Amino acid sequence: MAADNLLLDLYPNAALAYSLRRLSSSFSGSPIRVRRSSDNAEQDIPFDGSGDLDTANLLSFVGSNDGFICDWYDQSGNGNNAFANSAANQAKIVSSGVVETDDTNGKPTSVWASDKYDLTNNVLTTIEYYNIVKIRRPNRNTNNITTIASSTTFPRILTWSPNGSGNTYVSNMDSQVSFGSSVLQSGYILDTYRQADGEMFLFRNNAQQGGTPNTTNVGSVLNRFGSRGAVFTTGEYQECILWNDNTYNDRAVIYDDLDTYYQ
Amino acid sequence: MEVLGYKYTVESEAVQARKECADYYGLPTSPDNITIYWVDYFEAVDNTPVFWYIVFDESVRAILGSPTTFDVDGNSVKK
Repeated sequence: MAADNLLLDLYPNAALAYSLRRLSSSFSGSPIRVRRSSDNAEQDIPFDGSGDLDTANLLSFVGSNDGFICDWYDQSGNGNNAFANSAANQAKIVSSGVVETDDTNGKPTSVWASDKYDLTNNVLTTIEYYNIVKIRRPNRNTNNITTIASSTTFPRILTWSPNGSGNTYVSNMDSQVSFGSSVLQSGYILDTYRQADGEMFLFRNNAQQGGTPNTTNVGSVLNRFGSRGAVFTTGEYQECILWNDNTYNDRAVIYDDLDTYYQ
Repeated sequence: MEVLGYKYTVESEAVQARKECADYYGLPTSPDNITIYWVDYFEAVDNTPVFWYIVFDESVRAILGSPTTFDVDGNSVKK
């Protein structure tokens, strides 16, 4: 893969980056480590020559059983992997010998069923940050999705709540702000978030959603991927990137990259 | 927050329950593996008195039995 063409080549200052595709030409590792259900053995699954997940390698390892992601390797260069020590909380990537894929783009996806990961290192958010995730929320009534959060209830960056309300919440401190239930419906979404100068912004497909509610802006320590406290994620993830600096004005290019790859 | 799972008033009981689940599934299979447990347990630090709990997963019903529902106030810390 040529340098400077990938998303993190263009915008390299991510605090963490998990994806089933290659995001940086300088990242030479594997994107995920997988546990197979047959004997609980684990193996790193590499990219193929195109920078996609090497599904042939994956299926060769998992066979006709199930495969679960036990480690998301951080492609940002910070070594902040997201790992799950507990098997019951690992997202599925292979089901009965078939790679899980997104209904829309046909690319590999991870299916979360009350799952969560711990971060190797705490992430301290600063004055403003920008978060992009490529996730799917198939059922608004039952899915409960959290991006980067903490082992306690707060702080958390972005959540969807189930139970029919379908509200979308953004938080970076000791409270949350609701953007209402109309922001994110079922189906695939591209979502971004920025907090700066006491205002919150939420974007979907590069279109701002809701208002810009004011909130107190403080730094927070984040240490989880996919959960807040004891609330775990149910849904699908293909990618999650957190920039801990201001890429607000770069979002059009970032969305172009996402659109090109995923849609 | 209402949680479906297994509640323990003594931390050592939660540790033992976690071990029973790991043993049942033969974990860990290798010292180099990421996966060392089948389930985590949490401390409900804001409840009085403090207690410990495991969140229900269908895969542990055969080991830990039927779950119960209980309230967790504020934060929980993974142990």
